Amino acid sequence: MKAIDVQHLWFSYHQEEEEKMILQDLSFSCEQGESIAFIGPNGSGKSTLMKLLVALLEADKGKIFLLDKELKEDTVDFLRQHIGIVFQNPDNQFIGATVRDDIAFGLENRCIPHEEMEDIILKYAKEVGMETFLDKEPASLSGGQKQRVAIAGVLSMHPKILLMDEATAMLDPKGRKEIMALTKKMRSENKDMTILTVTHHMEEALLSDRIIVIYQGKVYMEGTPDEVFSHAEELKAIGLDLPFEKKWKEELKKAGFPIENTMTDEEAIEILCH
Amino acid sequence: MPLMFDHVYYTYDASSPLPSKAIEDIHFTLNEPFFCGIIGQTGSGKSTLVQQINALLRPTQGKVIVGEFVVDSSKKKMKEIKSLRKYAGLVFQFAEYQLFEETVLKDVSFGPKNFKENEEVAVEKAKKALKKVGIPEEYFSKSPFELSGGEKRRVAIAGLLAMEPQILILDEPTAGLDPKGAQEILALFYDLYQNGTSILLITHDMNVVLKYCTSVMVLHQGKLLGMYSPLDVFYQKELLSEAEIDAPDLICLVEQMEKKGFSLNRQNIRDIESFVAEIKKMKGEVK
Ligand SMILES: Nc1ncnc2c1ncn2[C@@H]1O[C@H](COP(=O)(O)OP(=O)(O)OP(=O)(O)O)[C@@H](O)[C@H]1O
Ligand SMILES: Nc1ncnc2c1ncn2[C@@H]1O[C@H](COP(=O)(O)OP(=O)(O)OP(=O)(O)O)[C@@H](O)[C@H]1O
Ligand SMILES: [Mg+2]
Ligand SMILES: [Mg+2]
Repeated sequence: MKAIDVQHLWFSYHQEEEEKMILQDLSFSCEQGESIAFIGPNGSGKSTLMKLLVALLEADKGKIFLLDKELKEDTVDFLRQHIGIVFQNPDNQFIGATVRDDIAFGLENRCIPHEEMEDIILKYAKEVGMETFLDKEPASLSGGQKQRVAIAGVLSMHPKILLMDEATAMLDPKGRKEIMALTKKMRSENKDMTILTVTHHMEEALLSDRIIVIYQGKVYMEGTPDEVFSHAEELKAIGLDLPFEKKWKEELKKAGFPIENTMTDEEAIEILCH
Repeated sequence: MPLMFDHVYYTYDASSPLPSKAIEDIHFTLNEPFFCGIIGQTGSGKSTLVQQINALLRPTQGKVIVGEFVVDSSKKKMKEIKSLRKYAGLVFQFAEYQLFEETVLKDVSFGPKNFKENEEVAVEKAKKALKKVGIPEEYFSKSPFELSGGEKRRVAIAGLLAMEPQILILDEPTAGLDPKGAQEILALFYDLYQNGTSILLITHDMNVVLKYCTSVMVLHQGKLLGMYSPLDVFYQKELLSEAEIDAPDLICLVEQMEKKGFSLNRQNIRDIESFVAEIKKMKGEVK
């Protein structure tokens, strides 16, 4: 089953004005269980697309199918049960007065019985390293702590489709790796969980099954990380870059060394040894 | 002039039943101009520390000396607060909270206007700053709230640049920027530094610290572990593990190569370009 099927989406924020369309005939689809990274320059339409997928915005034209059902007024409540989103700014999603209440709120909405709730809250707070902050106000947390709580809240609901819009931007590299390991673990326990990640960290994109490059509201490029990152110059031209582990190899190649950016570190270093 | 922290403590909700100690006994001196990084895990006190400098938060104990200003624990409103904030300007970690005007241009020209520039000069400064951060003219009349995340951050940074502070305090300025934008904005800060402006930069991107910073403060659980040169921190495994920080990718690569018998000049390697140059030099010598 396809988790997401987006067909010829058009969108503008101000229909009445002669404004350029933010999304222009954008289409993509993904299978259940896939992980996709969306990369693209600032203002290319990534967050707009995510908001359309959770029906916070409505398309001017085009169709969205989630889990084989078209996203429409009469399916939106059902589909929202299965889709979770972590926003760019976590403050936009805190509702509870404490971290505990905030995670509980999402669970209540999914009709999780009260007696199970406390265990689930504790489990996910632990997974993101925030178990000692359960009684704190979300507003009184540091930037990275807020992001961890927002992630715990959404993961605890076990969405079939998880959207992460720069959800780890304020975390240190270690923290980012921990969260990636956590979502990977959840995906291996639950094979049909689909993850869409919007990120400016090319290293994060490298770890997904597939990358979709968004540029000026369109799909500009699409493929496996190796495929996409083989187009270094095109990516650079639109403001993107290679992840570190590919970039140094690419630069050595440009300097005349017989190295490819698809080599492992060991292979590349071996060549330099000779 | 120096930026000095004299045994500064800050506790959130100090008088409540649940006080929360955020920084403890922070003590250091930086001589201007500096390009100093602040690193440390989530929750280690970085944002709290920098907010003492322009009195967004006042020390619970101790004092901060910023140029000719003194920020201490007194509850009295500082009468020179406006000049202090012009001297040391800050961009928040969540930059969008800084935006408030009707249009992008008004937002960025607010700073200079507020500091008594006439309208025309203020608007000129704003336009120049917006251009520097890559915001095109067709955005000037847009509402700052109708921008993408990265665009909002760029506008907030432009707002600070237009004020021309002597010390720029930047809390994760590249979070949310695309790779090109991040590079350009860092180069911009570096350029300002070379022209005498001081930069205090909180970042989780260790590659940035390695490339640009002349010194770096390491925070851990609210305490300052020390002030170092970036190369000293990143090749010191014990310090890194104490602060729970990973070395930058580039340092890991250099170490990996050293294990294979390469002898690279660590001092020269600050980014991928200088790394490649170093390899070329070495290989050239071999030939
Ligand atoms: N509420 C809004 N009203 C009007 N225009 C908007 C609004 N939000 C975003 N835009 C515009 O739509 C375009 C796409 O914005 P979007 O937030 O989707 O970009 P993005 O790809 O997520 O960028 P970033 O990497 O900076 O987060 C941008 O040009 C932006 O200025
Ligand atoms: N408004 C507040 N009220 C109470 N406690 C707070 C408040 N803001 C921060 N704290 C606490 O103070 C400590 C330091 O927070 P701070 O925001 O300075 O961390 P940080 O180093 O900037 O972290 P990050 O990298 O996540 O942004 C954290 O434990 C945090 O929970
Ligand atoms: Mg966005
Ligand atoms: Mg912070």
